[in-house]
Amino acid sequence: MHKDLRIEEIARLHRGNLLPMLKQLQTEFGYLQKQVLKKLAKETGIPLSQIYATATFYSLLTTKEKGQYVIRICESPSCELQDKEEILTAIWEELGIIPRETTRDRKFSLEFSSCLGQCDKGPALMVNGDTYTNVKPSDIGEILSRYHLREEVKQ
Amino acid sequence: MIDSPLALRNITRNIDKIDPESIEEYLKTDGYEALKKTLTMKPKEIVSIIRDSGLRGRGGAGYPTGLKWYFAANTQSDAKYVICNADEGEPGTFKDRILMEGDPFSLIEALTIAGYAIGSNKGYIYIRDEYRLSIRRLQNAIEKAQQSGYLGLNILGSGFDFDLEISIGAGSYVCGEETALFESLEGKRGEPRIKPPYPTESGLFGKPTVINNVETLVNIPLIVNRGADWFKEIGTECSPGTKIFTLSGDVARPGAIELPLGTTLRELIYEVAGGISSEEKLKMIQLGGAAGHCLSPDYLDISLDFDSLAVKGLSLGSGAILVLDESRSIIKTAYSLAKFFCHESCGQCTPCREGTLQQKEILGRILSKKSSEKDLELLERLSVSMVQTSLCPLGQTASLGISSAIKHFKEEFLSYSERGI
Repeated sequence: MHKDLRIEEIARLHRGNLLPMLKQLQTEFGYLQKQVLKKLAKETGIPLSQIYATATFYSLLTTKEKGQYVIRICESPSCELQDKEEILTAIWEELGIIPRETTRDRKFSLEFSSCLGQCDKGPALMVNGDTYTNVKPSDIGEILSRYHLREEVKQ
Repeated sequence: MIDSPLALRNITRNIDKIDPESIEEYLKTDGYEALKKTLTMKPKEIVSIIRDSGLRGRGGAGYPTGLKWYFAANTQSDAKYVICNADEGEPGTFKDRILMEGDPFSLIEALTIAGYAIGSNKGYIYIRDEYRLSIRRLQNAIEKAQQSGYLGLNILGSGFDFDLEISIGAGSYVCGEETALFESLEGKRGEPRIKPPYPTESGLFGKPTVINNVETLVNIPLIVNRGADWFKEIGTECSPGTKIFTLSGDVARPGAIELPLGTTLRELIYEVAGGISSEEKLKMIQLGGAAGHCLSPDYLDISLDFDSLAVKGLSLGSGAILVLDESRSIIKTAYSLAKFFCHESCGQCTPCREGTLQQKEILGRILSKKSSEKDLELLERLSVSMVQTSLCPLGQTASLGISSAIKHFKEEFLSYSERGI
């Protein structure tokens, strides 16, 4: 019930502009579940097909549950030249996941990303909103531990 | 920014020189002088200055900025919009990011001048979500400009109202195409519209809209302050002004640099970027990002300006320059381009949706040495169809890097396909 009320509020807040609604729903609920999209369709009068089409159009929106932290590795030609494969190996060694996979504890997901605009400082990656550049395979352990730590502090 | 004696610091004058979060520091470097001057003039006069300057769009198309403003200014409407296209996503490009991170107030001042010139009271900056620092700096700059009376109602007592809003994307390359950007700003899938009507007639929410790239806009305060004649003295006759080039790949000093239009690739790669970073020789240059042409070293002396390139069927694009040395595989680079466009095609029109998929599959075959010579022919025919029949610039340019790579490095492609038979 509480969730439904929140969806109503978000729908009103963005006055018919679907994309900001979807972004906010994802921020608050983690991902865009089917029930959330259905409720949004009912609330806004926007056809569910259109809502789903928009939700699945953008790379940063997701209708599937992902890890709490999404690691996004730049796949542009400039970063491709910079030992990106070794970074992927280092992540596999730390977390046991390959691109498009999520760790069992749902803490991390790994994805590829289009150009992150850090082409002179490749390879680049983002973890949620944080950008890392000139990443070396030996940096991966330390980068990931920051997010493990953040969890411990919260708890 | 790359340190070089060739560098100019016009639009990049404040980067790393002032605190980008301080409006006081911006004001000390002639900040908002151009807006003050603008508000004493008629909107028509401002449009004339920009037209006279010959400023052309820095987002890739090179369309005359003053002409866009002129059309929008002369269209009657109850509402008009000014939009800054800050959805920088062209692989190899980061010029707009450094401008927004390093000098956000210049952009905001420019948009306010644009609003006054065309008779608009509302502007948007559409920016990609990945540019978090740029977003923070712009938000801060907008708030400070509002608090100091440079944005909002009755700006500096002139009676002119103008406000700005930041709209953040959600991960889509095609949203950098202007009409797809309008769709996204309206909250929908970012699918490009059919043109005409052009944005100056019917853009955001169907209203007359001027949409300019970040780098284009930051030229505006300088042109208003220093005059069209000053601007025309830099660069070439048909491509006046400077351009920020972003160098990446196998060069000794990758990074961004502001240079006059008309600089050669040779100067950029060997003088500015310090040449090739390894012991290897230069093999390939991709000019203008993923949507640009792959060139051989024979092109080193080409002048980087809109017209010299157009004569050769090339384009400056975003000003991105990717350099590969002899150790690199052209096939791998071509496959990487194909993968990128296949992922980013919006799927609306068939030549692009199917064409980008087929490019990826065929190049995948070539890469795994399972192709025949016919596959190269197929790629070339596919490219012609995509260029001629795709709806928007994404589809029209998605095969250029690949077809030009085949043209200049055919031997390498053939060596892969022959072994595979």
